[in-house]
Amino acid sequence: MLARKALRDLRAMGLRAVLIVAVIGAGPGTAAGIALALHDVAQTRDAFYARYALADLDVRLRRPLGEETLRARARAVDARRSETRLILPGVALRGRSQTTAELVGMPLRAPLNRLAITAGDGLDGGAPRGVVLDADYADRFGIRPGDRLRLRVGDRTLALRVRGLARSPEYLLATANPDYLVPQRGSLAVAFLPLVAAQRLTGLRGLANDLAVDLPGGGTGQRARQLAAGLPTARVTPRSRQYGLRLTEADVHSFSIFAPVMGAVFGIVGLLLIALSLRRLVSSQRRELGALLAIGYRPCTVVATVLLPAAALAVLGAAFAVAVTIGVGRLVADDYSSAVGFPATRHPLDAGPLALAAGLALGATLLAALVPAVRLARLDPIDALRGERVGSFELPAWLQRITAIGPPALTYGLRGLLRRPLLSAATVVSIAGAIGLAAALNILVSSTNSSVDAEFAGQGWTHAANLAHPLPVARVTALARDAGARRAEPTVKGPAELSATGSRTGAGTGVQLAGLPARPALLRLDLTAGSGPAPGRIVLSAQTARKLGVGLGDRLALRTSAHRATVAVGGIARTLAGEESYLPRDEAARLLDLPGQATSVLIDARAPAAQRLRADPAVASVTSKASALTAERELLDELTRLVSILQTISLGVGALFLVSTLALSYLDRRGEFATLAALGYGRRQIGAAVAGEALAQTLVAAALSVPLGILIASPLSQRIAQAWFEIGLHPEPPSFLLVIVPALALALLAAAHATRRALRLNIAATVRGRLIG
Amino acid sequence: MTEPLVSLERVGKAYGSGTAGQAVLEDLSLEIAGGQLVVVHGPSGCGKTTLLNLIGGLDRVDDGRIRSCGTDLTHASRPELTAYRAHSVGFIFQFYNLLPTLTALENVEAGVRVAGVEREEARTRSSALLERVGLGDLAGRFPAQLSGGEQQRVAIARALAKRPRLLLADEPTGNLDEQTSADVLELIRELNRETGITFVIVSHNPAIAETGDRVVRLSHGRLVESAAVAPEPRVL
Repeated sequence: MLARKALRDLRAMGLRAVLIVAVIGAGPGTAAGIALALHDVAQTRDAFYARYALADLDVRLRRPLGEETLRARARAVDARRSETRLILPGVALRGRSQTTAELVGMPLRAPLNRLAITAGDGLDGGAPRGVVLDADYADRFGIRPGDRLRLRVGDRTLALRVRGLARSPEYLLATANPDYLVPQRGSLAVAFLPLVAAQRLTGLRGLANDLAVDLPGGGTGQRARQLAAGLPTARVTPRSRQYGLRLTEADVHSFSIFAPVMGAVFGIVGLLLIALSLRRLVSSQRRELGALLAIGYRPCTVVATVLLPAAALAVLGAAFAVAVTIGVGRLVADDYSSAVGFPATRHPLDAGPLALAAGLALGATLLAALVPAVRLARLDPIDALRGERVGSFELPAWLQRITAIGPPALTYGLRGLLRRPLLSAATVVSIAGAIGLAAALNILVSSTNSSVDAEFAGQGWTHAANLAHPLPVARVTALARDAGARRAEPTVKGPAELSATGSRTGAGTGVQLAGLPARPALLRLDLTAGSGPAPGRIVLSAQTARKLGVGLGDRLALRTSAHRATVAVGGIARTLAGEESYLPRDEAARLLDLPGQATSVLIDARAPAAQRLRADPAVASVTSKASALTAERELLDELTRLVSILQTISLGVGALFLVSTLALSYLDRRGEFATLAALGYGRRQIGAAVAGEALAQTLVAAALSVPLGILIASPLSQRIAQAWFEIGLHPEPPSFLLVIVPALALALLAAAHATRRALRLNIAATVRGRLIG
Repeated sequence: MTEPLVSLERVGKAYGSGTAGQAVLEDLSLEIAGGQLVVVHGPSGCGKTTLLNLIGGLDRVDDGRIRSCGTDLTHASRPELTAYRAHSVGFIFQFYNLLPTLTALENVEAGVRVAGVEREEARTRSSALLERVGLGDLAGRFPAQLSGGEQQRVAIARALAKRPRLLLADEPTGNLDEQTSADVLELIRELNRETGITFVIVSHNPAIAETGDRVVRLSHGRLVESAAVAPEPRVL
């Protein structure tokens, strides 16, 4: 009997049952889907790195040494695997375009940093001019296997033929300016050649300037220091600081907070909807349930009549949630993996997110069913037999006046909201949650945008050039002036390790130590605390300061491959180049064992001057601020695509909720709508009443969504700051309007649906129902 | 010859379809002249309310033809029926059907403004009518704060406020006690005389039948009698 009644109740709920299942499924499903996607991305990345053997540590030298010297170094630290390479800066020439390039001479059977061929063939010792190109660069310029490519390295121009395209774990998201954690896809033409061929073509037989190793204990620690000690290192990159890994780690870390936030918002929305629907079910069946109690059914049996349909909805909702989890997980993971450039995405079905989705759906539904169930258990049969209670309605005079401004239909619509304060409040809160969540995502994107814009806009340089090898500061200045630069600021950069003195563990972090002139005019540090670099006083990025857990005045041990020193934290800067730490140039040069020399130069110059500088054999690469900004825009476009998916789901859930509550509200007032129709109210007026109600709720929700959106965005921005870059929070009207306007449109659509139902009513039959007690 | 306000020609109406269909009205022809107070009387299930719904444009005929207040309801479109209800007909229901979130005055206004009457005029007219039905002091009350008889008076004021040509009442005293029923019927009678509006009242109560100018008796969906009531004495 109970099962039949449950089935009948579900059938009677009709569209509402479908909507409830949709809300139960979509909410937890989306949250768990994000968790699943992040899991898939991490798995995909790790599998890619494992299969193509990303090295634990990569040491790049400022000048080539004999291959055997480097191998001996690797053996001395008991490296499990090692390979020596020749990596030279250059320029790829395609028609009139010139792109910063790196020629990578690597072993044919590389034990580390192997290539994942995506098109054409791999390297071949029998084809010394057959090059394998990074797929991002090839995509950007439409290069295919079989095409020709000219590569200028030093004073030589090499004519090469493209054998194949590849992705490399080391050059994932290859970018011309890795100091900034904003990947400029295709901005670096990485050309892989067999090591011997590269040595022969560049006249550096038997020499190498790069050593990649796998070390017991990983790429940090004593062995790593020992490996680099005394070598003329240009860059030391342990696996954990590898560019692609850092970027994906930052993304995964930032996005991982979305899952619980979305889960919480959607969980509350689902819970409210189910609670209200079941409450309605109990109210509408009071007389029937009272009769069951009166004829001797036990209260627990009667309670089961509510719990059974709730359980059916919960099971259906959980099944739908699992399907949504898998769908959203795949969609987001595929989208992200393709944006990063992983050759294939892995989708191992992780039981955790699936159980989370099903558990949330089941839990929210059963929790929501408890309230009406408890009410039902306390039901007095005599009272229940009198049928549904009709509450009295009164309003304070001021509220009467406010709501009576428009025509009667609108007054009726607006007062309908005040008559069911619980339903109205639940609707407003739910829609506010959906809009707030979607707006929070917009705030994050626009805040990132404006923070990066502000970072670059505050800089005086237009281009940054890395030198092929260290040069005296005066020579670098002359080089830039000769090329036509208006201003030039030579800097010196090299790898260093910082650790807080007094730290028991001695744990430190690798940084890029940058030496700036006494009064830098082009590189303007955005100091959030302290002052600029001074002798013995280092300026840290906010990220490094956070990582080390230090503040102004704290003392740090600084170690390079040649020297050690103790410095104090003199300032903390907000910068996109989160790995950089700044000292006065002379002090940094001394610590890096490059006294009086520079390794890069910032210039203020027009494009032709930058072009001339790029043509100089002493210059390894030239990147422009404009291209970095473009890259940032492209990165944000990709982020925006992901955000759009989440926003659509969020707004969809909000709309589902509004449709459901309007349907509930309509069910309660069928007789009244029929009365309005009998009085001669037509589509326009009844539509105005329903739309007024829907719009009023959405507008109040929109107003609430502003503080709510900021509240949600705040912890998310802190998470992004931890992982990537201090983006601040810049809530601007467009972030909200972009969500509120579609939400209002959806509200009108939902109102149109409810109006259509009201107009389809059998007026004659409905109008005879008792309305007022 | 003056055209009747309402005319039904061989009207038929059934609910359900096919063999399960049940005829509610069969071959019913009737004319109602303007200004009359007509009582449609008959036992439960004889088709009284269906007849009222058809005249009020709330439902459509299956067979025959129906005209009311110059509108051919047989073939009227949905917007035409809506306009007919808005301008030409007023309804009084057994359960009053006041909108619970509007005050008594606003409920009456809601019935006027739908006919296109401006706000100020609607307010004046509604207040006057509430005074007329004896509820001037209770205009600001919500329906739940009024008794059944008071609510029905508001409903009568609402139906009259638009100044319809035809007023239809479905068991208007069916939910009221004896004394209140008598008061309400007396009020209806007075208003019929004062306004000249045609009233069609549906009731199964034989006592009410006596209050009309004319009684139409239905049985099993057919018209069995249509006769004028003797003018004196009126006994409720």
